[in-house]
Amino acid sequence: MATPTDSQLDGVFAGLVQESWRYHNLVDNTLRVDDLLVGALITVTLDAGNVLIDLTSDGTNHILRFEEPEDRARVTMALTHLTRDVTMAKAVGQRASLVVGYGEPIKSFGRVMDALRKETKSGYVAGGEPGIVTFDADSESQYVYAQVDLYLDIDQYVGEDLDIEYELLSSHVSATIHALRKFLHGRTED
Amino acid sequence: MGLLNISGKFKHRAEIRESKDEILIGEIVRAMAHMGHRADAFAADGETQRMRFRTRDGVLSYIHIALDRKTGEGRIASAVIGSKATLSVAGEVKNLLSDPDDVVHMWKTDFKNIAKLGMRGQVKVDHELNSIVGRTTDLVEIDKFVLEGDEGVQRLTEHLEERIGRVREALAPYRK
Repeated sequence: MATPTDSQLDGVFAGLVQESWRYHNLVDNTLRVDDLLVGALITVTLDAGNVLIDLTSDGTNHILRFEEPEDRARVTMALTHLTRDVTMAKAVGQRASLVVGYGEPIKSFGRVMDALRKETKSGYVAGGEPGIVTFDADSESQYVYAQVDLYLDIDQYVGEDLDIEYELLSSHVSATIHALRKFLHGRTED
Repeated sequence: MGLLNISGKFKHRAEIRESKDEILIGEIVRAMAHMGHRADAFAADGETQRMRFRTRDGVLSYIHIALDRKTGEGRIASAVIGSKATLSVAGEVKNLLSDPDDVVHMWKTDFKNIAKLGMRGQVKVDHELNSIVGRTTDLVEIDKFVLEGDEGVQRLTEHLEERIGRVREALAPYRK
């Protein structure tokens, strides 16, 4: 067997490295897709006239808070990436849970909170299911929020080539905020 | 997850003045998205906030932006010296390093750049593992860019485009 030349050995090594990159990119793209969605959520929410006032991220759980500078209405988003495994992502698609909140500063904060507390029901009904709108408050800032739990199909918004469907995402975010605003006003206005 | 759980994770800043660095981060993400660069990594704890962007650029694989707020969180400091921060823009050329001869050539370039500081628009080029990184850092006034409407967005976009252009130019010879 002839001794391989320097360039032949370099070629074999190059092949091993390239094959490793293919797998690395597959895993990396699977893990990064939620970060791409976070960037897209920030972009479309700012395009709608808000500013980002809080951003916390540990790589899997991403928490965002926005404020509309004129009317001080706030939007919160808590996004958790649910499919951080390549096999699971291939099987069920890329999924994330998203809790969206819409809040406004309430002048009669104490009265509204009393009314919300009195509505406590049996305790048998589970919260946190898709489409259920719940109300809560941040007593420090005197904001009352309407919030809803959703599960997002990330593949709708982030393509295989990692292109972002901003228009679709923007329409979904706008519709959610619009619905939550209506729920909040319906609950807090006389 | 209940909303109070979410609220508990925020820092409860007293005024929007204290959130100016987050506001700037948001505007950077949006400006970069409009330039076609997609944020794919956030490290947002502590004083320094870092983001990585994927590009479709023929030279740059990634753009990294780091914001480190230096002054202006207090009312008096904000009024007297403004809200200053260092804004670093770095470009990364990632090569596969499949040829050992390439690696050896890259290492040699490190010594040529060791004296450059990368401040005030100057680009410092380094090799780190299998990447070549060009970085430039500016001390910026956050108020120039945030809560200034379209003018602020325009200034920020121009600043980023100009810095990315410089970094790109410095790194172009290293793209294989």
